[in-house]
Amino acid sequence: MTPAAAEFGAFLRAVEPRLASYLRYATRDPADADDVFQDVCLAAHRSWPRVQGLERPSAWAVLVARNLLVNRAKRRAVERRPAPAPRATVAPPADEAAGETEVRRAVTGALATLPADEREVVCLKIWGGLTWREIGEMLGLSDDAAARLGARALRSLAPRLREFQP
Amino acid sequence: MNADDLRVALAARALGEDLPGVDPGRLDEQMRDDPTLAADLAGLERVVGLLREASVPAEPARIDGVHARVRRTRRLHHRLIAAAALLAVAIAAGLVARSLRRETPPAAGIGESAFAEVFRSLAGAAGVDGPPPAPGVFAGPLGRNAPSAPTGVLVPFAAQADFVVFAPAGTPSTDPPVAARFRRAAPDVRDFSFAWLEYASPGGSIVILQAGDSGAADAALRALRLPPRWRSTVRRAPGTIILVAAPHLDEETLAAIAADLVPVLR
Repeated sequence: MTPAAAEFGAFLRAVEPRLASYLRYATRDPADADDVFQDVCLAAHRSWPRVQGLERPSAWAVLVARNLLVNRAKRRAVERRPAPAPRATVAPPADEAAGETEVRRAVTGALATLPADEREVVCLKIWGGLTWREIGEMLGLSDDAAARLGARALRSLAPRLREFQP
Repeated sequence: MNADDLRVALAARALGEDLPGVDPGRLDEQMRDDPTLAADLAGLERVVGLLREASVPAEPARIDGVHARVRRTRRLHHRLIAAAALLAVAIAAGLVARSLRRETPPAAGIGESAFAEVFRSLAGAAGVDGPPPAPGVFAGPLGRNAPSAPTGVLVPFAAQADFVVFAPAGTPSTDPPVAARFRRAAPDVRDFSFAWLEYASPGGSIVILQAGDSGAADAALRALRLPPRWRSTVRRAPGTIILVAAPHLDEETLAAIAADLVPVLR
């Protein structure tokens, strides 16, 4: 394997779990999440020399993912297509504990109760791994405003997930 | 710091980054002075830990249902042969055109033995031990259940050809035909990172990669009754190689599609 391939593979392995999680929790449609994930990977591949030189390539990936999600939503609005109804989750792996699936369902349900801006910020923070400044820049907010939205979201989520806390 | 700001500051810290403008030392001091604050923070950190643990699993979920598994197994043989043969055609045309210019495309090469022969020619012509052709992205018929022989053959070639590929994670969807599914490459080939999209149709699946911007490729994709979204994807990515595997199509149709694509890739 060439060094470039190895480096790109390492980048993908590092960013994949976080990016996949962010997309799954940030969008209502698992197919959209998968599509956008693929698009981000391809975009990273095409721009790899530049992405590789960034201070935080993983943040770049989340930014691209978020922009793609926004574009999809805008296209739907233009086409006057309804947003997909939340789909049933796919069957979990046979070896996945039932409890893990239940937690994921609870998290999805809890996130759905948040206002859109709070949900977006908390997804970007927890799974996107972005800083308050990066989130603020992405959403057109100050870093303080972004942090406050995230904090409010976490305060709202906490009681809904109490039964799953260790 | 007033009580409300304190609540916000603790929640921000639990999320991994202090509130902008907050003096971390001062917050630490306040928590030392008031144990309920520390307990509050600990509780919020547990919630954050729970959220992080609820990450999407790295391993792809299995499609539920016996029928789906049976269909997948039955399709595997045809998918493998068709995909591997077409990949060989695509590689020949796109990568080693200078050495393998043909009057007619190797459409008759669909079949496992023919694939092996084509591949040997490709490996020889591409100079496996020599300098790699231009880099690109292509797809391989890789998946957890894919037999190892084509993988063993394709992967070294891909490495020599300086391809950079990747395998996106994601769980297969049981959605209607327009859903795109992703599958992780088999563990032994992950380092080579094959990237591919799988379009699930009622009769089987199609493996597609971004294709060159060409009328022939577009026509071939139209023949497969793809939605506009995939055709626009094709147009966005000129210069790469297309691989089409459509187990629900017969060999004659596949050969015709391959024939359409080969001139495009030269």
